[in-house]
Amino acid sequence: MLSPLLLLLACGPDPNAPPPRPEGVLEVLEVETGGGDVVSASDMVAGRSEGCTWGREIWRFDGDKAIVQNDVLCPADRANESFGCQVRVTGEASWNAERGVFVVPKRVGGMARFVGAKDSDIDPGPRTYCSVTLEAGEYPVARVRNGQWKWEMRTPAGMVLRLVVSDVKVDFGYAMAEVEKAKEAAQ
Amino acid sequence: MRQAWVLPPLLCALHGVAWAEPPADVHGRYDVMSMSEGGAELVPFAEKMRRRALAMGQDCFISRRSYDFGPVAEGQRPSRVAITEQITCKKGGLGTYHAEAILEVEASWTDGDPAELQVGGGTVWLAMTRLQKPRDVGVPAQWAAPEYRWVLEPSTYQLTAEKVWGRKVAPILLTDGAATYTLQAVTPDGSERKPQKK
Repeated sequence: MLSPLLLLLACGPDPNAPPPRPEGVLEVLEVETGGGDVVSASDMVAGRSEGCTWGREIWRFDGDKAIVQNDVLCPADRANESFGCQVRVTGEASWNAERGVFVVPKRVGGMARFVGAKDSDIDPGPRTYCSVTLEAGEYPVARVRNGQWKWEMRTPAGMVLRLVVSDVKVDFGYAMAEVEKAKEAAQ
Repeated sequence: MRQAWVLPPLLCALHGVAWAEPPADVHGRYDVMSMSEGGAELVPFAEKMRRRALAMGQDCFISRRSYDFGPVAEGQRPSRVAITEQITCKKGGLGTYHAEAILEVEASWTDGDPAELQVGGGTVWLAMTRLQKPRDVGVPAQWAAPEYRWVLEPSTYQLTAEKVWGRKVAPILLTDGAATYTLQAVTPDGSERKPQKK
């Protein structure tokens, strides 16, 4: 009776073993800032674009590339109208399997801005602007078991991203409904 | 001595060649005004891009390309460059609009004649959706702009500055393989930039 238990304990997962390489599309659920505060990913991403009310950030590691994308929803000047802006950058990234770290050698920043001409239905101003940055540096990864999020990744700026497996496709219609629901609840 | 100073630009002018030198002070935004491929004559950049798009049956065309080196301390070379590619499109539900894809990459320099600018590679992808929700209807109508993906391979450009006289910022000639682009210094709103008073 005792020997199978000992065997199980001895052969269990090594707590110091590096994590496996994250696969698939990972969405940031929330962010632990350098100061220890936790903010929702939506607040963090929407906060980068003036006047925007909803946002999300997704990550993907594909071969020797890192892909990071921001999607934001911003209300238009006209009532009942919004704009969804999406921007994605791809840069070099190598996976250090021994340390469980992604290494990004060069910074890549991306910005998207849509400006309407005179006959356009796109609002003028900053509501159709979004940006994303893949900072150079090391991104240590940890696998989280039994948690709401499945991965944690520390950025070179010292923030910890809490990540779940997600879908690359965004549903701005759903996001618009969620924003309206939150607005009604606050009234 | 005076003749020696006048002679090179005069000879260049007679031969239709701009007198160029390595760019001394590169900072701020430069827009591509014209381009030449394979040694052919210079043509306006936006017109060339529009014609190319028409020939390929595309709805969108590149209407502006800019290189923004940002503020740079005197005597230094910029360590980053934001390259903007603006496309102009027309689409139902959106009208005519400009979409700007801005890729900010690291830059390193090799001084010489010409100077060389090395930029890291990267890819930027962008998309936009307009959502309009009629009153009392749950699902908003959506109009999506065509997705745009722009790939910048790690590149080395050769840079020279055209010799200019008077109160003007020297245009930069940027050579990328067989293509040469004429870059003019502009202010953030796109108008011509004058030299700063010292």
